[in-house]
Formats: sequence, structure tokens, C-alpha cells
Amino acid sequence: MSTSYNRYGVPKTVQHAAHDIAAPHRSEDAAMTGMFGFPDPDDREVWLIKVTPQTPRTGELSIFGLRGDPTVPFRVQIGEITPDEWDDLRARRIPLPPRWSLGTSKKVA
Amino acid sequence: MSLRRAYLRQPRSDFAVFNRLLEWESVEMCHWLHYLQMATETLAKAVRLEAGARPDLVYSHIAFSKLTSLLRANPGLADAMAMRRSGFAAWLDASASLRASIETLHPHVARDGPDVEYPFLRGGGAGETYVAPADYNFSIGNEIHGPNALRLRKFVMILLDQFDRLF
Repeated sequence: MSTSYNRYGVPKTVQHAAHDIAAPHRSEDAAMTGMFGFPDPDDREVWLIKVTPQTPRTGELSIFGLRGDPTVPFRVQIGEITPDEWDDLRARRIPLPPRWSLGTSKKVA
Repeated sequence: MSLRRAYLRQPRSDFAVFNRLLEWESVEMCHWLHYLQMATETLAKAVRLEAGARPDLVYSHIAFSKLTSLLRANPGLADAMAMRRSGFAAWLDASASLRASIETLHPHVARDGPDVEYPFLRGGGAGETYVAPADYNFSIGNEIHGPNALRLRKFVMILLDQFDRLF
């Protein structure tokens, strides 16, 4: 049995939860260019940014929160931006939320 | 305050409460779904009023799903939202069932199905029993991590924040 999931298939770690959340976005949004995970320094929450040309461009990063639930037992913070906005974010023209770091971010889907 | 402004003020408040409830541990699913249903219904009515609907036509609880035709008839809206028209149309199609599911959370629309306000019967025969919404796992609630729900939250946020510019 995987040590990353419990017997009901629920992820035990923030990292596995991030991959589980990202998977349907990848499968249902063919235009998505990436889903990026930002490690929470406290390793308690899932922090994600989805990049897709199909979303409205607002020039800022709006983060939507979700409390944990039986399928994803971690609090989630997630935003969705266009590839142009992703470039602006990487160039520091669009700010990240406090404690989010580009340096430790990883593509998860 | 005009009726139009009032119809915009209320979903802004409802949507803010929805977002807070969704982050609040140990709040039953029915509560944040209730606020999502109210916010989207009233927002849809604000759009219909702006489009010239008579005030007496906005009392039906079937509103959010009907918003599709109004939005689809306004392709300039995608441009105004700096959104690809293809993406706008695709999202309207992809989220149709989600929007209909939100609408049927209202007791007048749900009919015999589960709603977010009043106890309802489930099961059949000897197993028939009343269920409180607070104890029910609404299937739509399990879609909240998915791509359509994320886009919906952003879309509603933009419509509410930029209503005067967009309509």
C-alpha cells in the first residue's frame, strides 16, 4: 500500500494533494500550459497557480481559498492566470501572495 | 438605491460570505452552497434587469442557467473581460451542468430532490428517511476543486467587481 495515500485513496501529503487537484485541470483544460505548486513553508496548505489562455485576463492574481475536506484534507489556495500574466508574475510585475516563492515553485501538471 | 443597484449589492455580499464560508473549517457544505446559489441567482437577475427585463420577471429562481443565452449573445463581453472568445464559449458550454446544479439547490427548483434549506426525503420503502441539508453530501460540493468551479469563482468575481463597465 502506498504510504502517500490512505486506504480510501486520500492523499496524506500536501504534495500528493497538489497533484490530485491538478490532474482534472490537466485533463479537462487542454489549453492549460501548466499548474504550478508553491510549497507552503509550514507544509500545511496546498498553494497552486494554474496557467491557461482560456481564463479572463485581469492583470492581477486572485487567489481563491478552500478549506480541507474528506477528499483533500488540506486547506487549498488556488489562482488562475493567463500565460502573459504568468510572464508578468515571473518578472515580478504581478505580486505573489505573502510567503509564496517563485524560487521553490514546481510544475505539478 | 435603485432596484438595479440593489440587485447588484446583494450578490456582492452573498458572494463574499460564500468565499468566507468555503474557507471556514467545520461549516456544513449546505451553507456555502446556499450562499453560492443566492449570489449567482441574484447576479443573473441583475444582468437580466440591465438587459431590459421587466422587474416582475426576475422573481423566478431559475435565473443562473438562463444567463447563458444573454452572455452568449454578447460576444463583446469576452473582449471586455480580456478573455478569448473561444475560451468564453467553451467555458459556457463546459460549465452548463455546474450552473444548472447550483440552480437546483434552491428548494423551489429542486422539487423532490435535495435542496440546501429544508429537510427532504431520501431512500425508498422501509429505508425512507428525512435528511437535513446539514448532513447531506451534495455532489456539486465535490466539484469545488475542479476547473469549472475555479473558473466560475473567478468569472462571478469579475462580473460583480466590474459590472458597470461590462454591462
